[in-house]
Amino acid sequence: MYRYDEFDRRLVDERVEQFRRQVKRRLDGELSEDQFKPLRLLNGLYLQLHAYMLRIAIPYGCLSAIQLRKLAHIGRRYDKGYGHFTTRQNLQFHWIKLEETPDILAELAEVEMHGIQTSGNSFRNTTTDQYAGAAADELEDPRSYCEIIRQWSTLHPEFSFLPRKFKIAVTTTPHDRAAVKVHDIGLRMLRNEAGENGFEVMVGGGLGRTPFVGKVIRDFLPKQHLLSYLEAILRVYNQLGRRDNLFKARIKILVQQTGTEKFAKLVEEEWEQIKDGALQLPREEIERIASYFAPPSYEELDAQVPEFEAKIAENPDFQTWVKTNVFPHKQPGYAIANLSLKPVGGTPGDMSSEQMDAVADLADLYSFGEIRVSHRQNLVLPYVKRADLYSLWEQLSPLGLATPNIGLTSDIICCPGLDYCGLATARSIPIAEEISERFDDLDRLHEIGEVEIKISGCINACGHHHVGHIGILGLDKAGEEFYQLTLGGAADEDASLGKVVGPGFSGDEIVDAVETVLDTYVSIRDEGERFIETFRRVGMAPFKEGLYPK
Amino acid sequence: MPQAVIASRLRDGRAVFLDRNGRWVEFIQDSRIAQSEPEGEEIMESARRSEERQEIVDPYLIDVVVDGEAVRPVLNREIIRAAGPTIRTDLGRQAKR
Repeated sequence: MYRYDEFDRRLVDERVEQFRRQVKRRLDGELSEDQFKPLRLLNGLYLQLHAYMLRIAIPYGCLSAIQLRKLAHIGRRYDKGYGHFTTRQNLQFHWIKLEETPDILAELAEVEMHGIQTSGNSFRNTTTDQYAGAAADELEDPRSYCEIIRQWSTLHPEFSFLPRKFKIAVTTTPHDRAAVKVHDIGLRMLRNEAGENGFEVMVGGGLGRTPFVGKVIRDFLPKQHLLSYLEAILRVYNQLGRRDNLFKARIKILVQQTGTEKFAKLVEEEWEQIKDGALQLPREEIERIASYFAPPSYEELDAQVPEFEAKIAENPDFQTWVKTNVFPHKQPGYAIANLSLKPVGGTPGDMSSEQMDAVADLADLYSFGEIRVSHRQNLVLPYVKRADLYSLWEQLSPLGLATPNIGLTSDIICCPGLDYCGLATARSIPIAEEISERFDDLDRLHEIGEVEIKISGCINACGHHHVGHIGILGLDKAGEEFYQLTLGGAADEDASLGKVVGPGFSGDEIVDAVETVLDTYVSIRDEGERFIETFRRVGMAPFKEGLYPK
Repeated sequence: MPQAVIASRLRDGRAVFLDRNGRWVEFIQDSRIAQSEPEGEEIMESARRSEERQEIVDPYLIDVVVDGEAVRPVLNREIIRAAGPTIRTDLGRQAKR
């Protein structure tokens, strides 16, 4: 994992002391809320329905066991004993007191954590594949590039006051698990005919009130030019992005209004000026950063593990968990284990302090002390010996972290919604909970197969509903919660935006509607066809007929 | 419609309500209920002065229904602020009464 150098350490320590003074001035009445708000947002502190909410950065979703234990401690001491993993691989606490925030940030700094890049009109946490460094299909470890971007973007003086927030995602695998096409900038590593790795650069993707799939503005960017090209994009955006209208300020609107070709030309012109300057990334520097992400000390193991195969054969529950929650590893004899934070009837992404402590112990025991957070609000132990999977599973089960549902109906992405969020217009968590209860039969869940349900409690789309195979958007209609259903969205390499199926549904009706959609799918699918594939083959009509019978 | 004033307490961000004595209280049942528009404006004025003293943040009037001693906000948002998250009834004000 990346470890702070002297600059990181000083920056974070100074930020804690600066914020401590700012909080004191606020509590003493020297700063008004209008003056204080941008300062607290720079440290991830929001004011929501019940309390302050502190969003803590988990750069590119990488956590150490030590850091997870610290989060458990903070949840226990300063919050109400739990935290919530978000769709941007971060963690937020929902019951924070302003007066305690400086102490919390000081505690976080002890383990190289902070709330920087989690709010405000600036760069946000760069996100990536939760299997980074372990996936068999990756060209390179994306974390090196995420870290390079983090260092370049953190407190970048030219881009401290962007028109709006800015999100970058990186993937280095053919199958995109990081949703790069719905980010302000999406970077997808490719290998050219000369055998060199570089990036396909996409710009202007995003969700929210005006969703777009990102547009490719450069087919292949050599790695050494990564930062200069990002800088050129940001310069064009910073100069031309709208600041007069909050709803038109994201780069996606600029790209849309300028036109992809013209926008790309502006970027290329800017890049020509700076590409050979100080931002070039020498191979040695890429390698220096990559050394922080060197593989752990793997044992030399056989790919075949007879005791693991035997356990699978004798225990159907373990077999089911392996089928959905275990992913192939690049290292023979190892596996990637997904820990579902989507128990039946539970809040997607929530985790108690006790669970955090226990997972930290399991990470130490089985995964070189490393944990990953996925944008789908689950956790990952990236380096587990196949021979240890059964023991791991046995210990995860009583913790409620072994639900075998990764990628299935009840593995729902869900924002906090109106139960916590000041922007929300409807509740989202109760809908997710009810869906998971409706589909609690494992046989049925596995019979339906891979489907992505994503729920947002307002148009800002933190729950990614636009790119759910089944998307649910909660709205307020004359004081009543009301849910719009979209079908056909996807966030992977074949990203698409879902289409509204028809008139919306009340809170009492929406779960029935989801069930109708899934029953329709099961009745019309071809053999082995996933939900999204069936939808793309047959279109909206059969689903509409099921939902709105004449 | 009867109204109460809701705000966030500066120190801890908790949702609070203005009571008859001009203090901020945690339970909506203890809040001062304005029965008319002028009375609503009067309690809002009191809330604004409190905001200037940096005691609370973002005060505003909410419609409520009064039934005997029970006071219930009309909108879902305010019902949830007054009680706590609907999916964690062990948290928020609802857990205290």
